Amino acid sequence: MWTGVQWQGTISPGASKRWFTWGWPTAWHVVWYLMPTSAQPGAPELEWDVGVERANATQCTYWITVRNLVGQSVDFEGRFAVL
Amino acid sequence: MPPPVAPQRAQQLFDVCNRQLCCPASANPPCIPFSYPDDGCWGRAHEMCRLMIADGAQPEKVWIKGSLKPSSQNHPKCGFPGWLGWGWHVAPTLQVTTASGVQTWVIDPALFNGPTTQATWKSVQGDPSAVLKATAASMFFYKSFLYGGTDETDPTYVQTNAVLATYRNSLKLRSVTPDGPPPYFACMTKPPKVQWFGSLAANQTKSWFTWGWGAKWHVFWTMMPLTPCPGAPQLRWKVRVERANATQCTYWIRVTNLTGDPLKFEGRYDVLSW
Repeated sequence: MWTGVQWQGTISPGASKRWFTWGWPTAWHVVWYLMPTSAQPGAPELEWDVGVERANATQCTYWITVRNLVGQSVDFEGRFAVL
Repeated sequence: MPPPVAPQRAQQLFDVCNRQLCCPASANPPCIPFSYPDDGCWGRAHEMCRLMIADGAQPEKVWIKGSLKPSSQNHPKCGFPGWLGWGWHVAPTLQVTTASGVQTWVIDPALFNGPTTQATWKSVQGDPSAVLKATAASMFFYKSFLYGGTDETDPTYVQTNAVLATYRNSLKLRSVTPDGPPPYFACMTKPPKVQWFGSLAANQTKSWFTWGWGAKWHVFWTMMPLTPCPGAPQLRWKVRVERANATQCTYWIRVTNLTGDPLKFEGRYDVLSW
């Protein structure tokens, strides 16, 4: 398994925003998760959903929808692991 | 003979063509119905040449005649003898500079996932005695070679568009039969770490369950569409889990098709810790 950070993002209070990342080999088993980089203790800051598109026989695009659950902007890393 | 290009440029030109692949059930123009392998290669080849020429390339074409028996996951019968194959076929070519000299490579997304050598392209069609002939890209229908008769060009792409429209419709029709859209499970072997192959109708949500998993194992589930349809996410999923007994659990995976087209997918797992 190997891991990485695909992007760094900021999301406004209460907002929902979608990012996409393309050209991933479909043969890879990839999981996506987020990590806030702005500390705001006391409650969860982010939640996310992953959608996936088959672009062609060998490549896919991941669509990650991020929701900010708190009343302040949240900076975060979009992380992945190739299993 | 046109000047050779680097392998990277050949891949780039393959991508220029393959980017136009059709979502099978909607197959909106100007997409190219690569996943309807039965027929229409001459329309696909002429359109691919148009796209490559517009990108600054100088493709040619290779025509093959014989008792051709290709295999394809995109045909419900997979290959010979269920699918009888072709009497002839055509695809664009490029001259490519390689370590072993200049070679003719074929751009044929209906058969391959990248540019391929002409020898490989011929070999997968299952007739060693098949005859190959090269022409300029402008040759639309090489009738004198294929059947005898007068060759046809199509500089205005009117015939090309008619052929593409015919086979887009064939692909759409096939996708709404019980076979569904390509690819076809009967033609595929399940790769490692794929628990199941699934089908979903347009906008359908459906649950699958899988039982007998060690409760101690850390299991992660991901879904991957098998039916290509570029432009938007196709699938979303939620995982729920039931503790069946002291040592085993059952996973319930609810998969949603986000599109208005039917699709096929594979349900994948990874055990992160045993």
